[in-house]
Amino acid sequence: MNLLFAFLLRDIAIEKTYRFQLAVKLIDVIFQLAVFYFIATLVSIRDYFPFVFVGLMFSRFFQFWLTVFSQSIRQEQFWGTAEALFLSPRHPLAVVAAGAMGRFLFLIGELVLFLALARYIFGVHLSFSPVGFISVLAVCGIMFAGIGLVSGSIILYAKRGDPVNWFVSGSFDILSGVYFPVNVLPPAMAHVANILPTTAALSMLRGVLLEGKSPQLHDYLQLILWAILTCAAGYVSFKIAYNKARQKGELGTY
Amino acid sequence: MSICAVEVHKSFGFASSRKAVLEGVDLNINGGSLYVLMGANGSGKTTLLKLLATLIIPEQGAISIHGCDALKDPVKARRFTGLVYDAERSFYQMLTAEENVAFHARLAGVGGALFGKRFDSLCETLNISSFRGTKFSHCSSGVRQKLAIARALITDPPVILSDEPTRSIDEASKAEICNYLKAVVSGGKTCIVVTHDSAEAKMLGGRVGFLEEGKLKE
Repeated sequence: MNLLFAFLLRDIAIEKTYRFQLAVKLIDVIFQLAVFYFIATLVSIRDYFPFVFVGLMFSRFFQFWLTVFSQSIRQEQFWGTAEALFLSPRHPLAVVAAGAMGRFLFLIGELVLFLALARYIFGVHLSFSPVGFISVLAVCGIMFAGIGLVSGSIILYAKRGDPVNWFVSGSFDILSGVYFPVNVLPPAMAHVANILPTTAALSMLRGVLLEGKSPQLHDYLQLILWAILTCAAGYVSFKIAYNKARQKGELGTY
Repeated sequence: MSICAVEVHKSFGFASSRKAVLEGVDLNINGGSLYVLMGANGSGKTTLLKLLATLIIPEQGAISIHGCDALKDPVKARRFTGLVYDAERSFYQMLTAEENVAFHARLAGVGGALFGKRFDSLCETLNISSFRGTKFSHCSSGVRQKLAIARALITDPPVILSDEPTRSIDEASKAEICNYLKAVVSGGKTCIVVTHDSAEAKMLGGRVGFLEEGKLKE
């Protein structure tokens, strides 16, 4: 808890000095939803806005976990504070994970804003149970954090040019049903899309938020297996990258 | 032994551009003593300090800090060390002096009243009390160096590794920092001070080692 508290206080103190950036981030959510609201009016597809609203929110959530570790490692390296962090008598992975704490709280704020805007400004009918919503996001968060950790490990070792982020992010937008249902894709792509855990997770989230469905244990099973797999990959890649960076003497360079 | 390094080898770079920096360095320092590490630029002084601080892994050799194998258990070894280094860039520029030191103290599990007591005492001894609430970016080089010392000492480690603690500061502050480090050592801590200023080495006293061509000579 000390570790989380330390990063939380630090992040609050830093964010206080960048208030304008905070406001810009929040306004960005409003702009994004407004753009798709008017596109939905234009294309006249029934229930497109609720569909794309959940996709956009999930996309934010996914992008957050995919980039949070790489961005915070890179930022510490850029500021020159990375070595000082790794000098603390804590497991380096715990330091990196706790370093995402402040940004995570901001993400929660963004998600709440998404829901409030959709419900009260754009008139989306939400019929969800908070338990289902939180549990789907929790499992997805763990799964995505594993991928994000692989991405962060590449930045820790190679400093720039993270192919994981580029590839996963690109394929997520096209294949996971963020902006359109996967059944509009060509058969081969639709087949790949249906194997991806992100497609299943997004479909679950739409069910929870728009139809009031409660996911069953077997719905979670595939996501839990993926979460174990990605976290194991994240742990192993971080361990390798951290030790390689120490061997090269480049833990703090960017 | 408080600090023990045996046959430590370290080189950087790849293939033909590989450069050996340390070639079989041995170092034994008893608890409660001061060791001055000297050498020309690029002789490997900072590398040796970072190896002892577990920020770098050697290719060969063994390192033990306060009886702990630093290569096998670097996290535990870090509990026993405080590293004074890079005062200009290793702090958060947008935080105050106190917020910076408090953050690092909390990472090591030192918070609340204990932090307050130790920080008060360090500020008083290092003469930086009036800069506690000053943003780090507004602090002078001398204050930054003293803050680097405060950050290393706030966890009260038995071993202090100090990389040029008097770099770019005036003579009066230099003497102040040297006297403080000597007082820390008389209090029972083990301290390595890296410098290439022979006058400073004299002022500090203690054993002196020279790093030359990858070897440590005394």
